[in-house]
Amino acid sequence: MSKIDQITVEVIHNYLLSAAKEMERNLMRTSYNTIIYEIRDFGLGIYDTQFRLLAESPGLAIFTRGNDYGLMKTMEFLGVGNIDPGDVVLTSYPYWSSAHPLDVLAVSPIFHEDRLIGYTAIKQHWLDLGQKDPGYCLDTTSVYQEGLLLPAAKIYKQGVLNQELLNIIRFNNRLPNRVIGDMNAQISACRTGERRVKELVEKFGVDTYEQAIEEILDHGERIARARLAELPNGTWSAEDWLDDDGVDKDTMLKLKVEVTITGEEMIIDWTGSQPATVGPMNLPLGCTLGVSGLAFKGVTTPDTPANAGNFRPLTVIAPEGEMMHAIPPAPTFTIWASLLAPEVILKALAQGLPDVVPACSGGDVFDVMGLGVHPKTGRSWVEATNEGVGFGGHAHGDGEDGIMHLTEPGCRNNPVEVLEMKAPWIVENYYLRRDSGGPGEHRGGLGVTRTYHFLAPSSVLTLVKKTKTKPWGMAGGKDGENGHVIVWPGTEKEEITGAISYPMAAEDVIVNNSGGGGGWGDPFKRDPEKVLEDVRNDFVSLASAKDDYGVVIDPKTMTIEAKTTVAMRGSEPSS
Amino acid sequence: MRISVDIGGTFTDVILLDEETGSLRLEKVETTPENPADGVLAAFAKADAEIDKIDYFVHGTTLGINALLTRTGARVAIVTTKGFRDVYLLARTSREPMYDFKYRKPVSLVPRYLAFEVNERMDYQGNVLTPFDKASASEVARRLREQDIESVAVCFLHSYANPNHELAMAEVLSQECPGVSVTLSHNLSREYREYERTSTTVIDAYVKPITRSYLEKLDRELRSEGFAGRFLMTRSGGGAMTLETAKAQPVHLVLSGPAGGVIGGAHLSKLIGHENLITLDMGGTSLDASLVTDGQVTVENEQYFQTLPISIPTIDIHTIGAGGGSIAWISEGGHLQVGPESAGAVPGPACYNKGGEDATFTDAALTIGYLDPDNFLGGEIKIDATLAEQSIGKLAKRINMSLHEAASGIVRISEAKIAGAVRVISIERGYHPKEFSILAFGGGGAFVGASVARELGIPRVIVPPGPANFSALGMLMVDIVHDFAQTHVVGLEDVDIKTVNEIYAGLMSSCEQALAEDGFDKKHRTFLPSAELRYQGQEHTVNIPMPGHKLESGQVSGIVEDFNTAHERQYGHSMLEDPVEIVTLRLRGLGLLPRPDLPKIGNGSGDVKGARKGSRPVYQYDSGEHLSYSVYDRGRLLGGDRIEGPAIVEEPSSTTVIHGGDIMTVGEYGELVVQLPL
Repeated sequence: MSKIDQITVEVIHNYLLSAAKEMERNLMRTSYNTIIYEIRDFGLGIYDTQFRLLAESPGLAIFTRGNDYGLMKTMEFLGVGNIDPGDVVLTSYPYWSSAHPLDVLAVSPIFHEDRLIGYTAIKQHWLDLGQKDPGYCLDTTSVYQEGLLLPAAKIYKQGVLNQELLNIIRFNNRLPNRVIGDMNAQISACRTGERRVKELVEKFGVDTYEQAIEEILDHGERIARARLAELPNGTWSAEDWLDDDGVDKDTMLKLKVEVTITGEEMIIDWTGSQPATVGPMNLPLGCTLGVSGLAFKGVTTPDTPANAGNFRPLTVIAPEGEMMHAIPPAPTFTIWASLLAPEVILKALAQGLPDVVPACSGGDVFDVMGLGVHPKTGRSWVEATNEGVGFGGHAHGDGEDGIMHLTEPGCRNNPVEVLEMKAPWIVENYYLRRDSGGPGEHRGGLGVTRTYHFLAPSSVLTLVKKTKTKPWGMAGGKDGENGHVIVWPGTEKEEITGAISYPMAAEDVIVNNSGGGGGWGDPFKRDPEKVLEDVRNDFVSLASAKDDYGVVIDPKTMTIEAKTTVAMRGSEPSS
Repeated sequence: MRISVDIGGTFTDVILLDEETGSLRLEKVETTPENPADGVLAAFAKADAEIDKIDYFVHGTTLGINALLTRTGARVAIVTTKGFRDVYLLARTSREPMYDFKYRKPVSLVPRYLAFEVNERMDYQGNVLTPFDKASASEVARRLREQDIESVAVCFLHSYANPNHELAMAEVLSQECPGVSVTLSHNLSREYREYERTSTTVIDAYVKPITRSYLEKLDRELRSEGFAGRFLMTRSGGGAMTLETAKAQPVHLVLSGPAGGVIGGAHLSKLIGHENLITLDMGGTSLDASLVTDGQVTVENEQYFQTLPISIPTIDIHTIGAGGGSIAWISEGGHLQVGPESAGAVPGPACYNKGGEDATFTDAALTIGYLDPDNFLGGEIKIDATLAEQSIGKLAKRINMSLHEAASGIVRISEAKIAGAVRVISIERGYHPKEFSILAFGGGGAFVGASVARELGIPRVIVPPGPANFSALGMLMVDIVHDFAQTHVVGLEDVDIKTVNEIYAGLMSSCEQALAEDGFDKKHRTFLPSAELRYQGQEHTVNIPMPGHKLESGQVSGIVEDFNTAHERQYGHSMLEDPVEIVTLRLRGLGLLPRPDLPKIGNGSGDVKGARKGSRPVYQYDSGEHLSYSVYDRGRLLGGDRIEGPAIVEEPSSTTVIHGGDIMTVGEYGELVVQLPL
């Protein structure tokens, strides 16, 4: 391409990024459901005709990458010749859409005159599709218990609403009004992106546009390859464990990965992981590809906007029919393997790239969902919030405290004042968990505690699948505290657990503790002044300062006792 | 006489308007960061202002935002509800960078050990669950004294619904920590979401002591020099506020920096008969874009400083790092990029010859011929075209481009980014740019105005008189503004109009009282009631003007219709069958100040030869060739004068570029109106 076109490429790239951003704003502002506008349980992007991602906007990172595969399968089934301007297609068949059936993918084609030039795609969480249990499923054993399956079904045909499909959705639904409101927001946001790309193509012409997107993708590939070339070559493997599959509560599920870096590519191989599970912990292939891509991008090009070019040097292997590559009719509702998967990839890489990757984060999204009928309004309610975790320490600094998991960057917590206005419960407290961050020269971040006190009969679901193993430290750093849920604390029934679905009576209490990040490096090498600062801020207790960091602090004066500290550490403190 | 002084990072702008003679004096002095009050007095002197004859002094300052940027504000403590000390530190636990596993939040304004808890609790309706525990409040007060706290941010859960516990805390603090500055969250925001309200409160507390002492000192010094007029401050939500309000709620100053230009734009829009404007204020480090619709500024109810939310009504200004000093660079993948890093005033663009080596937007504009090296800032600053070419040449070589290709590429990429910023405040808010004119000002606005207009299909670019000082000019046009709001969630279907009217009556009485305290009689007060509405189930709202503050039930269907229309415009769809609900009732009160008349310039003969200074070649991005642009002196143009592009109109601190096919005419206030052939 001619040299001057490079400027046009940059102009078109900026335009696509802002169009994706506008889709996000439109969706957030018009949706009917806290899970979208506060938690941002969605992923959206703009694609070319070959289903290659051109631009995305922050949401759930696992969704966006999985959408690539979902869009491809949707169009393969429908046939590219069978899509018209003004169509909107819905897919909730998990082996295609690459998440559980409540995460519905909407696809809108973009036409310039009569020519198909690309797609916009949004996957977002729908509150209901008639699945076995209200809210969420933790123990399905087949996809046929998991809600209405929409196989590339047109909700709009050439701009006209398909009333029959709308009725099917409405009649297979516990919360039809909110779901339809959300669906309208989703379609409107798809159309917003579609309009913007059309305007762009009208302005520059199809030829220029198509040349530009090739260059945008090639550029994405070049920077990924350049970064990959800087990393050491080798093969490393790692494993970690999920609590259970929701049906058999006594068997932990293994995630095993082997990661190879050559000068040319990265290969992520899930062979040796858990075979297919009876309960709904199986992962659709697109989701496995997505989360593997998330880790790859985080290690190579975290600082540039994502596009399909970034992922060209990545190969992912997941044996068909196993947990990491579900086939019909395997249940897939609890897609929590997708949260742990990028952590395990980083764990493998930690052996070869100790200065690049962080220790394990709190390891999960620690979601609590409540549902019931509000005694004041008589209306059904569903509210949820994910909780921040500690990030892992790394070679260049501490892990952040109380921040959403690696897989859900755009996600926000649900404010206490919103939760209490919408649902019959009181949040008793919300704070950082002292000493939950793994000790290290660079400390792991702290997890979070939130306590719910129900005021009326309701149900509670907790979505947590990493409570039995600790977030690992690395390079000599210690493990972080794992998260867990405490139901009925301080009573005879008290139960410390992970994922549950229980009825709650008025005055019942549940405590959600999220995990801290692992530490990086020998904690005895941590600057004693930093340990003192952590104690002053109550991030670290006096006891942990002494036992884990070898720093003895006088609680009255809040100063370091130099002599005992030296004795503990066996060397001069660095300050 | 009126005078405005706008303190910026590098320069302080001053405008003196003599309403009797109609003369307008525009000056600049250097900003004196160590003692800004000296800078104000120096500005008065530079403009030869007779201090005892000044009726109105309107002031804008970056003091607050600088304290935030450099983390040099007060030592602040947070006082909150028991169990919730970490609401502020945790924030919304989110992050914008998607793939950064090592992300850190910006450094907190308040360390964790300075967040204290008091035993008290309300529910969301304002019912007391745990009474205010005075003993625990006194214990907190003791620890605040021990920690030498200067300023306290009090934010209790659900205080928007019932502020009594915050008031009780203020009482304890006034007795036990006399002299300590106190900010109560409910005084700034009566809306729910505890983190956003806490953040707003903390920012106010953080800048309060420094703002208060600065304003008191400045007022004292001005009074001792004989100043007897009204001292007003610009406000981020539009309009101005009195000195007393500014000292009590300095959070309204924090984002007020770019507000003056937008307020000026709103006023000018009515004078010149173009009431829909997109304002483009391009300075040295950044560009601010905003929207004026039907002669009014547009206001959003939440803005951010870094990632910290400020929940007060704020003019909807979108700022991007695209200024004259924005640095061009090559990405790892070999693509030319511009900004957001800026060379600032020091070392500045390479052509300033102050040691800057990076190629900037200004260097590119000079290289392609937009700027005249011998006439920069009216010849006051000598710039060096060779240094500009060297800096760009180095980049060009790395990406295999010619010098001029690279230079025009830098300008083109900047223009594309600016067009993106305009899209955010127009298309994304449901307004089509073709219904607007661009008002281009700041040092660089008039360079890029015509190209940005072309990119977006905007038919017209207007360059106001004194574009480089336009923010200060805008500050002369203000009214006093007070905003009040109350969250009240209720469906419009079964709304009890009486309750709504009672809330409006309460807001009215607060507003009336505030305006009376500011000295406005009933004749000089105006009220703008509005409400935040949404479909039941949605979270985000759309602000809809109300027909009055005493509603009748017959008006409800019209309000619903207005909401449906606005929703359709903003988001492309509406849900006619879904119930609509009120979330927040708002009232904006204006204290009307006499409007200054902007001086008009006389009409010319229609012959512009006398203003023509010559011509120079300008490199064309599309054709890759140079084209000759006629060059005119703005100072010699008069009303009705007409120039066909390609042409350049120069004035001491700004340069207007008119491309081939564009036609420029001079309006009666001296504004340049560039019409594009669309």
